[in-house]
Amino acid sequence: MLKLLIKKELLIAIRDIRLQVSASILMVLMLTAILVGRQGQQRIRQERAQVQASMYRQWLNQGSKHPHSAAHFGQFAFKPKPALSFLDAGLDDYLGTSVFLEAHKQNEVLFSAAQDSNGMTRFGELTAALIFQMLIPLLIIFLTFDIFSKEREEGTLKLAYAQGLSIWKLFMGKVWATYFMVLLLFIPMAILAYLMLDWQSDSLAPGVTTQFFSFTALYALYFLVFVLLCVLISAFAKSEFTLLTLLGLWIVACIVLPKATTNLADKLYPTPSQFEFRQTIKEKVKNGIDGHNSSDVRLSALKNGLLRQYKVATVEELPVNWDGIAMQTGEEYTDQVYDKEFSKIKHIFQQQNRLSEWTGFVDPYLAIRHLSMALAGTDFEHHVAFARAAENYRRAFVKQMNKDMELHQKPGMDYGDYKVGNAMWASVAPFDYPLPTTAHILASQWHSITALVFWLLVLLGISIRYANKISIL
Amino acid sequence: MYPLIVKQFIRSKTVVLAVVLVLIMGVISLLIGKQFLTNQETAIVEVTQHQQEHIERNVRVIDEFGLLLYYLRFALVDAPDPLAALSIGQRDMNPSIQSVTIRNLEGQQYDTDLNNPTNLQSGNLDLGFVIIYLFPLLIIAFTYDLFSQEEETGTWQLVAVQSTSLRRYLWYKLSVRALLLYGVLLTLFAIAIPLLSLPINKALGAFIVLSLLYVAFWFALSFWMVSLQRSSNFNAVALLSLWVVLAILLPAFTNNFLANKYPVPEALSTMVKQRDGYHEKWDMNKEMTMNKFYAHYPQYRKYTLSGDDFDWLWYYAMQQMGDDESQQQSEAMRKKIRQRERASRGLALALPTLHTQLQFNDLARTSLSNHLTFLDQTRAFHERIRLYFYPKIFENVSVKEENWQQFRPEYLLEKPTVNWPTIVLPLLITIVVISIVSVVNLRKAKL
Repeated sequence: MLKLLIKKELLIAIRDIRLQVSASILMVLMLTAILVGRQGQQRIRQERAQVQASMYRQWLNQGSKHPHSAAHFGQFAFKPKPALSFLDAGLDDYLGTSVFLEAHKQNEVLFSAAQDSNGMTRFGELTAALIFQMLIPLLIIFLTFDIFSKEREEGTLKLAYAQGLSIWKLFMGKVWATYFMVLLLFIPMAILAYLMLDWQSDSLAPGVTTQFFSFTALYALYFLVFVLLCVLISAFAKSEFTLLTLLGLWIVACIVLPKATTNLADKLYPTPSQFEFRQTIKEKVKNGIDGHNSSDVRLSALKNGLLRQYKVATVEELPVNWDGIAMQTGEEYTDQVYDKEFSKIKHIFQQQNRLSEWTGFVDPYLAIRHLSMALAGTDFEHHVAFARAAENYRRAFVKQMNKDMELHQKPGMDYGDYKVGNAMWASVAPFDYPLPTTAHILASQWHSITALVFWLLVLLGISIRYANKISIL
Repeated sequence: MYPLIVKQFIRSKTVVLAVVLVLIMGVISLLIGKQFLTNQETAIVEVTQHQQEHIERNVRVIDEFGLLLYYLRFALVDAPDPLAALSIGQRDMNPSIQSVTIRNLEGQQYDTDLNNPTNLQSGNLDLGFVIIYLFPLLIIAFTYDLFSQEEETGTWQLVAVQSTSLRRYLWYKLSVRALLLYGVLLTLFAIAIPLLSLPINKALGAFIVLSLLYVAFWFALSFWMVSLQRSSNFNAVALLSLWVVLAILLPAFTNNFLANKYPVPEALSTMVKQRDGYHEKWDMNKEMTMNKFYAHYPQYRKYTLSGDDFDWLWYYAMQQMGDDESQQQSEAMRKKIRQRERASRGLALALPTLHTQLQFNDLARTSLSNHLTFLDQTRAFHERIRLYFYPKIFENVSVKEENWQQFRPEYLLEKPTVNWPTIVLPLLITIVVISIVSVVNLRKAKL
């Protein structure tokens, strides 16, 4: 019987010209978004791989020079574009893509797309995620707003009831039929996206398949939540208000709440300005030690310690290079200060994001948004992972340079006279780091997953409890 | 007749609820704007205070001019206009303060402000957003059943026998709704002016006129839909789809298109060039660097290297090369960005949502072009300071003789230019065209 009901709903929907039009528009949009997204991703990947390689070549071929000069010459790190990022651009436009790595300095990850773009970026980018998150719910609204009221007007609900059909079955028939239509649109797109995954690329970790299936499964869950919600509202709301109520909810959920939440988060957990941040670091380093400035108290303590250790009177008599040691110690001190300040900022951002993740319990759109960009590898956590990895890489190679100077630049030897060459540069491996695993991503996103499951359970609970009260007249 | 129409309209609970909601959102958006202004002002006060301390402290301990100028930072401030609170634009991302040393500039000017990217993505809930996104929805909700509702509830016949002109009756109904919404809009501005202490000037006037026109555009569009005389549900779905297309899909699509058409890879190559321009000089013949430096600034030929291993003249010449040798890339990048900016403005002429957003940002001086001007000014400011200090460094004059009090943060005094035709015409033309089509539709309908 349920099958028959579903079939009837489907037939009615498929014959409706409005749906034919909006569904085909949606199809075209999804196709464009996926294809264009894929193309853009490939272009960016190629570009970055090319520059990364040529930058590393420059490092290798920088000729013979003092190791500390090489540390100043520095290297560049480029953010990888994860396999699923063409489906959801996430925060990519608002985050920098490359960072200059040099001695003494934690540079920022620079050059975000939004930076040299005008207000237009704020309207968003046409990606598969935008369509899945905002437009498919809109389609669900168009599919369901008159799903009960029409039958009430035509009196067919009464007829079905008189024939002994339970209202619960009628209700579920409508839910499954609507869901089925949504999946009819979604599944071909998912298959297409799956086929378009970059199978040749070596960066395609074995985890990508699981990542992709989690991605699609969570979207399927999101759609089910929306279908249940819309069918329930159209079952109980007064028929002339159904459409307005649903559209109102959509606007609040997809447009107003996300903005309001982040503005509130910014108010609750204020971000210091860039200037303040840099200033604090500078102050703290200054009160301690600076690799280039030996007049500081800390530096003289270090010096006295070394002199005592080697039982000599002056730094010139030390068997190790004093400048190298001073430089590395300064480096490590700055790193310490930076780590502390940076983790403060990171903590503020995470608190802000946490608020919007919790709002997922009120607004399923926010839940899926966080999940989607986390799985696509375009969220804040992925960015932090990159920034962290690049910084560690910087520290490692700068340390390697300082160590060489400490051990091999003979005391009394002039800075300009000590030089190393290609073998030294080649001993620094090119920048590479592992992307976060799927398990890690899902674990860090438990708020949003719980929020979606919570929504499903609550809506199912309401349906079971109240479906029998749906009016057939 | 008219009072009855008014009464009928505002008796509806939905109408009251919607108006109250938008008023609340509007006030919240103003408070968010105020918060933004306060934060910016605090940062500016801090930088002023800090610069003084920073200079005093360094001058006290460093007596070598070249070394001192290695550390000293000078700030240029592009203080936000109070109007920025209404349309925050790109100001949340681009800093309003550039604090630079006289060393090479290219490495210093691309820092963005510290920002949670999640917040940037969601964007600010400013008054601009309320006007561009929420007002149209209100208009749609109030007008989609202007005609069809009467037909569906069977009151149309009643009206038909009672009124002389049905077209005038529809016009009355529409004007009641328009008056109410314009009332809401102007109330928000009336609250904004004292709350944000907005100066009454041309820019504010243009901002208000633009808002009024944008709202009129949506009324025209809604009225056109009504003039087709379809069912209420059809109108609602069609108007909302139009809203989705105009406010979300087309701007997003334009954005993709432009980003692909004008990619800006030059940013990175500028950075690389700048690094090479400077760093390679350490291992190069000093003569070569100096010759290039003298070629750029012939007036400094009289300063020559002392023959020591290290010389500040040589050091700053190397720094200068970082800028000189990346100049081409830097200019190419700026050109690309401006090209993209122009192209998006061209496309925006046909898209009322995009046009209004960009013009709001221009009037509030929160747009990209405003930031580009700021960067240009920073370049000039940097050059001026650099040229002021170069001779003092090269002659190594006494640090104590300099009047350090004069180096306070400088302010950019930029006023938004109000270009009326560009602001008004695109919307006005669209409104007129849509209205004519609607009127023709209604005439054909023989009401």
